Amino acid sequence: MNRMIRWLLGRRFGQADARMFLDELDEGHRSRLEADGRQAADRWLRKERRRALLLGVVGLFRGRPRRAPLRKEGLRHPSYSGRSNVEYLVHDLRFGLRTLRKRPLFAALVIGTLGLGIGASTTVFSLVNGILLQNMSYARPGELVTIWQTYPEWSDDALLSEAWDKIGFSWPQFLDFRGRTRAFRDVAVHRNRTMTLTGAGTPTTLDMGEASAGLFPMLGISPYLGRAFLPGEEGPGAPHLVLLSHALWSTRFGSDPDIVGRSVTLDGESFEIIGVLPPEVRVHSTLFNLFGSSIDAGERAVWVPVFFDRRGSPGGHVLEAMGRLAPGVSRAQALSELDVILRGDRSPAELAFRLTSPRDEVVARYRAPLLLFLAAAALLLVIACANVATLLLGEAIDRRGEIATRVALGAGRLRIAQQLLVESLMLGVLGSLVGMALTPLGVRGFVSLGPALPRLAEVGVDWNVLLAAVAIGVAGAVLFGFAPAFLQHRDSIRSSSMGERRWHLGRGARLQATLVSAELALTMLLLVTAGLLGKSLMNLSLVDPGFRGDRVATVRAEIPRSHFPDHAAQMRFCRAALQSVESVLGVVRAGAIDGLPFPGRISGTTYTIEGRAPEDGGEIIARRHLASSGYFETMGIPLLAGRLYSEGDPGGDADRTVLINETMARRYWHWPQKSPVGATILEGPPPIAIASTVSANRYWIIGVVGDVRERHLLEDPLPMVYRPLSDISVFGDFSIVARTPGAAEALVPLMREAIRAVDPGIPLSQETTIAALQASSTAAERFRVVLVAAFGSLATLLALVGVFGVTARTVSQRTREMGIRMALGAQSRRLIQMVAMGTLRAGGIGIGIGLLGALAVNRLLVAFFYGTAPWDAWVYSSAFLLLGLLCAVAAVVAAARLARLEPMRVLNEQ
Amino acid sequence: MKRTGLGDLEHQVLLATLRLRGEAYSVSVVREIEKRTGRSPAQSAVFIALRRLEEKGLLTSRLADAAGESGRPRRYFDPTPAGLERLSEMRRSLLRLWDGITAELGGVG
Repeated sequence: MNRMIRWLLGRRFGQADARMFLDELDEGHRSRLEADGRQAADRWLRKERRRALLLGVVGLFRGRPRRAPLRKEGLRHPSYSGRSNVEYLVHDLRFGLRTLRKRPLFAALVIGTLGLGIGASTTVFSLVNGILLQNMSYARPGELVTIWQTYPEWSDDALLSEAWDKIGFSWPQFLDFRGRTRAFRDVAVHRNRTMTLTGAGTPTTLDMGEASAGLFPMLGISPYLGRAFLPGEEGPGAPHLVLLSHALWSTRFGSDPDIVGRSVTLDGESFEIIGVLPPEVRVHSTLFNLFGSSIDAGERAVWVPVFFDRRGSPGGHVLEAMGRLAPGVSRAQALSELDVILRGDRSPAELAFRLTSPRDEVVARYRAPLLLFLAAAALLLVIACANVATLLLGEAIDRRGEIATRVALGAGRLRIAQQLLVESLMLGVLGSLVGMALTPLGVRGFVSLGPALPRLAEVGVDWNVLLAAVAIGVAGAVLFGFAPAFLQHRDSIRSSSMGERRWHLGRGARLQATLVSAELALTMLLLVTAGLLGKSLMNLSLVDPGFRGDRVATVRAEIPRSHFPDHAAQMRFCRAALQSVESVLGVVRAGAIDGLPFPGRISGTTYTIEGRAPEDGGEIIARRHLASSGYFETMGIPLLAGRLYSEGDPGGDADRTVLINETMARRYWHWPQKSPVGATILEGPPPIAIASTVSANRYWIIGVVGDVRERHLLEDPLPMVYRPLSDISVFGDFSIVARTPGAAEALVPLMREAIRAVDPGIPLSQETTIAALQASSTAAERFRVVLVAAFGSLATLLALVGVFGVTARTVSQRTREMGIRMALGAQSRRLIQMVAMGTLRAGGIGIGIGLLGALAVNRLLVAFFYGTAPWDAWVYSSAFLLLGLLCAVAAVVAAARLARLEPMRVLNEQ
Repeated sequence: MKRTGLGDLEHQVLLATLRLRGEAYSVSVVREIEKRTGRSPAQSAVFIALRRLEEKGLLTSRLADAAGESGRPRRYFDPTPAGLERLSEMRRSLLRLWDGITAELGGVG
């Protein structure tokens, strides 16, 4: 009170006199203390202070330097007269800050809520921006396209449909096209593999890129040191040259400036270093993505000329092509040129082409989930804004007295509006700052903890995103803070009837209830979506993949034909490597296969059942694998009938034995009624297979093994034929699996050493555990759940704040009303019911609308769900119960507070 | 009251400063008025009246360093010639009004 007095008198007479006044008040008090005793003296002091306040306030009017008549100038706030707009603004800011400091909890809630909403949405927007929107960091990216061949006839084939629109180029095809194209200014190809770097330090498996000579000039990438590949330094027989990535150069070679001209040993061969690439060069391989579930970040440690060593077959469609369109050439023109040059006499159904921008090619599969996250984040932001609105609105209702007083003292409507606007903006800016601070943390957390996404390394927080954050915060605060508050005050500004304010809560309270309903509706939507995604993931994890992958480690070894003199040598290496792994301490059983589940293989072969006509189901299309007996035992794939191969009798007809899976046995032999064991199948479609008299394509079925889901947990198992590993001529790499009673991760390096001991020159890759492969196959689903669930819980938290905040405020605002009603004899039970019902009504409406909204929205998301309908009753009732409970608790808490009210005390206090 | 208009309280405060002879500040003025009239004016009102009279040019003030019990400066007020002039003018008009009506009041005066 003394401060108030000092302020008031100080404005009129100066600070020194104001202080004097208080001193003299003390003196008067002391002299009365002696004369009249403490009680009288204290009473005097209280009275004096009240009077001083009154006189001080009056003095503000009287003490105006220019005694302009109040009425004629219109209503003016006394203490503002004669000030400039900047002074008003500074005053408003200071006043706003003081208001916030006085209500730290309120300020923290508003700023925190807004910051959370903004932080979450800008984090997700940063991801969307970096992954979906930003162009690749190549020169003039608009002209660049990836070029794919497509085999439209494959698109309805169960086995091949996955690959039909993504067929790479063969080397001769590429050379032919490059020589004849006019539509493209430049075309180039690349692919990626792994190589082992030896010599400098420990042998390391490097992610390696092979490039045609024109790749880097076409992308606009010039070397940091040295030179890129020259025309002619490509293809079979190319010189052994290598470009180092900036990262490898700086970590492995200590950023040696004289590195160019030296040599490194890759896969046991010497390569001359011709240059170092600049940092952050990324060339994404998407063909690789199709066959591996891990995501390619596009970073290659070294680049060598494509097909430098005749490794693999240049005839294989393994090259990913990119081109830069010539000026003025459209994609359609480029496509028709591709048709003319490459299709030859094939039909469009057999061979067609597809052009996309490199960015879209890389991110296509992630567009839908990313947009789902963006939608979830936007919902969270809306909920946060609704929350801010309820908080500010409650605040506005509480401050009606203050505003009315100021209006009574002559504050104009514009002045009040400006004050409220400044306060809202201040909250908006502070909330934005919190959001801006959270964004880099969120992005970093996402990049390190989130799932693998392409281009994740390129995601950053840029100015656009931060500006968007501020814009959202300010717009949100104005829209959701200022507008409702101003509307709320419009009445008090008009009527400025202070006496009425306690009795009539009016529009503000109704708007608040509406906002809480809206908040609960959106929260319901998020929770249901999170629940449905969670249930889908749970269903996925319950799917039996057909094998037991825990405690199994794996290493993939390449066995390039160029590395071995003949087929027998390849075979010898395989057996030796397998034996070497089996002898590792801790290995219980080991086996080998040409392609592990997740990603599995896309390959199909047609077989004919001997002695059965094609129209009787004699023709079979089946996936084919080469696997050792040990593979089934190691992976825990059950043998259902017959026997596994007897290893150790390679060669001759004894080896022409096959195992088939359960699906194939059921579909073509009606197993288990009839056993396929002992039946013979012929490779090839019926006419050819039956006509053929060669025994080389006859296979005896010796056993039936369990189904394995190998491309994805969700696929229906397809017919599968397993042939013995000794049929090695048809594959170029194989994976060894080994089971251990201990931790599978620990086994991986031991397996690597065991294989290296047999032949150190063999490139190894995919050194991991089966469990990790299996987990990576559901990474996208898991990530969806985690993210939407995180948003859902944040939303629930915000809804919690909103509901409790509003009920608490309602109770405090209506306390007087309740007191009077009670004093007039109303039953307290009825009153409690009234307040509780209000909360439950707002909650019920919100939850109900949320339920309907969730039904509508989740029907659109059906592609994300597995094994659950978008209207799953279990999920809906759980979300309903959770939010219903929240409202019920809020209602009970409010009721409990009211129940404790004593009518007389309430009336006295007010 | 004419001209600038002097309220009752201002009138009394102005008179008290004349009596206190250089020792007038809110506490002493209140004490003086209490002693003479038996009624105690609000000290804050006196405090403000002193300063308002100064603004009207009827009082003058001086700062006495460390005069108060708090050891902080105190402001003492004295009538200006204009103040004295105003006082005597008011006294004269009052006396003229009183002239010849003592009898009617009887013993009350």
